[in-house]
Amino acid sequence: MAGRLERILYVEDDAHIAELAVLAMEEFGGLTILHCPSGLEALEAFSEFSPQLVVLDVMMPGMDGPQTLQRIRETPEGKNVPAVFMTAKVQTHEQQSYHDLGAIGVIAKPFDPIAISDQLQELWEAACAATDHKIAD
Amino acid sequence: MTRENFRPSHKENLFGLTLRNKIIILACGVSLLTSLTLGALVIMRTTSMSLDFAVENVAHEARLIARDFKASYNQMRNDAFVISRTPPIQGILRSASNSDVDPLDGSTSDQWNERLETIFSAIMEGRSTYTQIRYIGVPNNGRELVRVNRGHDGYEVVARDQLQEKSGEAYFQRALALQPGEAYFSKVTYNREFGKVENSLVPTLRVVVPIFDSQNQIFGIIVINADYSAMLRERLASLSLPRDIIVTNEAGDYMEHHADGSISKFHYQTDSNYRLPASVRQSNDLRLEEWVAKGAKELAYSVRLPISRQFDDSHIVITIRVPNAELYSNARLTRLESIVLAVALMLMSLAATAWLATKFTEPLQSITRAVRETSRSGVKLHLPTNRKDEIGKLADAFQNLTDNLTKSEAQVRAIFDNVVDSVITIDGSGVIQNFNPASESIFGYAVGEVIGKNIKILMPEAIAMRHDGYLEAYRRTGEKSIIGATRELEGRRKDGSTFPMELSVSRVDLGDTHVFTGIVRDITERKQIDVMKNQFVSTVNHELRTPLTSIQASLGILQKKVSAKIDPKEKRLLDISLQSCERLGRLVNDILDLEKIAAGKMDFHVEPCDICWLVESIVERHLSLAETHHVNFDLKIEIEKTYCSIDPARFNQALVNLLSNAAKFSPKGETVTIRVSSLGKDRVSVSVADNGPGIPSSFRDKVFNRFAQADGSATRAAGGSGLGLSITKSIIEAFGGEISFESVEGDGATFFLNVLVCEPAEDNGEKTWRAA
Repeated sequence: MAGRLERILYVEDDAHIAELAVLAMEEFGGLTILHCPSGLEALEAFSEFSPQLVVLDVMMPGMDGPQTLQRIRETPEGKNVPAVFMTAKVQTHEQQSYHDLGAIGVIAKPFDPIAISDQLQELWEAACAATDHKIAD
Repeated sequence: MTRENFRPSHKENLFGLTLRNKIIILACGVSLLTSLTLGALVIMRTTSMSLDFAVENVAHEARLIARDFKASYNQMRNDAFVISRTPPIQGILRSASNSDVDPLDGSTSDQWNERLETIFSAIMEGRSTYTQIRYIGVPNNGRELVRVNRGHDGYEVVARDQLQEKSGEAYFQRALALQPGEAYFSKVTYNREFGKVENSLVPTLRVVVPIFDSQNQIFGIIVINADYSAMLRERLASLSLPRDIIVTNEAGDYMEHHADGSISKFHYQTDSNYRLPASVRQSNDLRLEEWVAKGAKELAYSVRLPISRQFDDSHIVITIRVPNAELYSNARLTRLESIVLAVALMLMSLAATAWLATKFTEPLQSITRAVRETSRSGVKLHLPTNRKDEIGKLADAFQNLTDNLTKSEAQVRAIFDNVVDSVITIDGSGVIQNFNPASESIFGYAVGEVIGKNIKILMPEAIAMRHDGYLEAYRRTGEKSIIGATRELEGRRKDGSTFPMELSVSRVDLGDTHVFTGIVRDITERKQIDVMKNQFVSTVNHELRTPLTSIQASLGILQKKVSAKIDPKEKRLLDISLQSCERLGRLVNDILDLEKIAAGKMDFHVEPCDICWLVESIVERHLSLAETHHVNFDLKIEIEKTYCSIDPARFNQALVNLLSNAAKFSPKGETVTIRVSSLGKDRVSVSVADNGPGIPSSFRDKVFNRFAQADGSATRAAGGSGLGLSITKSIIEAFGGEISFESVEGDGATFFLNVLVCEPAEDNGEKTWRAA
């Protein structure tokens, strides 16, 4: 699975943040982003888009981030997809709960638009390395 | 609060003695002892006295009898003297020396003899015990001159040719030594005639009186023979005394008079059946006139009556024998009387002390009854406190004690009833003993429904199961896992619903048992407020950050995209906007942190952490701070790998605050020195030193206050919120560490974070997952 991170499914309900994040990731990171404004739309789009990484906001109306991730994990394609939460809720115990849900990392809001692509790349590579290591075992 | 403790025990009454009975027993014992002692003393005294009296009585009787016998002897002697002075005596003497014719009146010897025979016969007639009266001549070789015998039909004159010569008899020889006026009593012997003992074996006593002529030469003797046996019998028969009396002479011959009045035969010492009672044996000491012999069965009192002391100590002894039973009859009577008296005395004292003891102990009983009644029914205690004695004092003291207890109980009860928290007491096995009104409203049970039930009915099942374990462990080990601490846990209401509660348990020792008092506070409302507050904080956090995120991202992107195309003034505006945005972000973070710290809600995950690696990585990740403020960070690690007990994320926050401050306040181009060194054995000091303006002395005690800024304008210019050091201090203290600083105004400041060293964790794997 190693290689370069290119395709990201991004779930974010706030239109402004989503627009800026997509802009930053596409413009400065050269990534392909599919933005979904809600968990349900993300679930619908997931299999077709088949992203390398899912980035989720936590607090969303309706289905929140963790629930969305859980539903994605229930699909055959989404079973092992790496996920990152992008949220303002970054207290220690909250971070621990994301980790328990299977997230590979957290991007704190407010995020740095210049650095975000590199941060995601770094997390993704680390996760891929760990998975490869497990497979190798 | 219950009155269990006053329940009386009936054990003492069954198995012990009441005070009343003790007094009675004591009094009876004392009176018994006294009467026994006095009785014994009286019995001893009266026994001795009545014995003395009886002996004296007997002695007196013996002396009287002895005097009677003495009279018999005197009579014999007097008769002999009377005879010796009759005219025929001298007439015979004169006629004998004048050829049988009296020169005075011419009477012949025969005439004088006849006259004397007549006198003898007359005396014999009057004296039934006399057997012979004789006139014996001395010069004629002891030949009897005149003799009258007692015959079968009275007296008989012995014919002249039948007269005998008595010079060989012992009494004749004795008589020769007699002086005028003297008489001699012979020993008792069987009568002898013609030198031989008579067949009739008459024990004979003889009295001898001498007759002198004109030249004072002994001429003859008058001898009166008496039947000794008859003489004794006559005397004894005359006694009307119901006593055993024995009369003995010096030879041991005796005659006995029995208490029933019968008289024994005369026992001659040579008789074959002679047997003198042991108690009558004579004393050898002739000087003794009277003596007592005390035997096992009888007492014998003897009186010695001397007969003719000058010749051969002849005497008779009168002995009265009295059986001991008779002697002691008085004493026995006295003893009986004493015993009867003692018993009567004891009965009287028994009755008296029983009455007195009842009277004395009745107040105690009534106090006991009153106390029991009070403890049973709960009515106010009224004791008889008006008595002046010890019981009154006891009652008074007890009444005071009870009143005070009642008062204090009423006060405690008022608190217990009115306190808003639930107060419950249980015994050592978890049984509920008290349940106050607040408990009723909190748990929904009425008092009557829970008293006597196990405390577990107030707990959800999971906690109830553990509770027995607590009590058991506490009983076994004394380990107080829940005692004294305040804990939050769940309670269960009567309807089965659960609610959060705060519980504190304390132990009350009651002598050898103890109870536990639990105070329960329903914290449902507080919990709800906490939840609301958390939600509020969370919402504020989200709602503030969402626009902030947009602004900051927009500015970031804008700066990146247009900075090359705009003039420096426009670029400066963009920079200021971005910096203010970052500052606003930090301010939101700090406020949220402070809120959490104040509420005690900040989470800390303290774990063993390699402090050197941690500080190094934090400094590396924040080199941008140095760059921003145009200073250098110089890291000096002076210790080997050491583990400290800290929360790495929070330590990061604390150290970044210090680094940020140091960078901000350092002049451009200066160096901020970060040093990790040991502080004593068990602590590590992480210090951050700058060369800034230092901390004014007037501000030093406010450094860690919230929104504390030495120079507001300068700080704001540097982009600080004024909350950083306050948060840092709270974080470090949460690890058990401390924060301090040194500063010389105008010459920089150094902050120290001192944290505790600990053992490394067993699982020391590097974390692969971290917050970015």
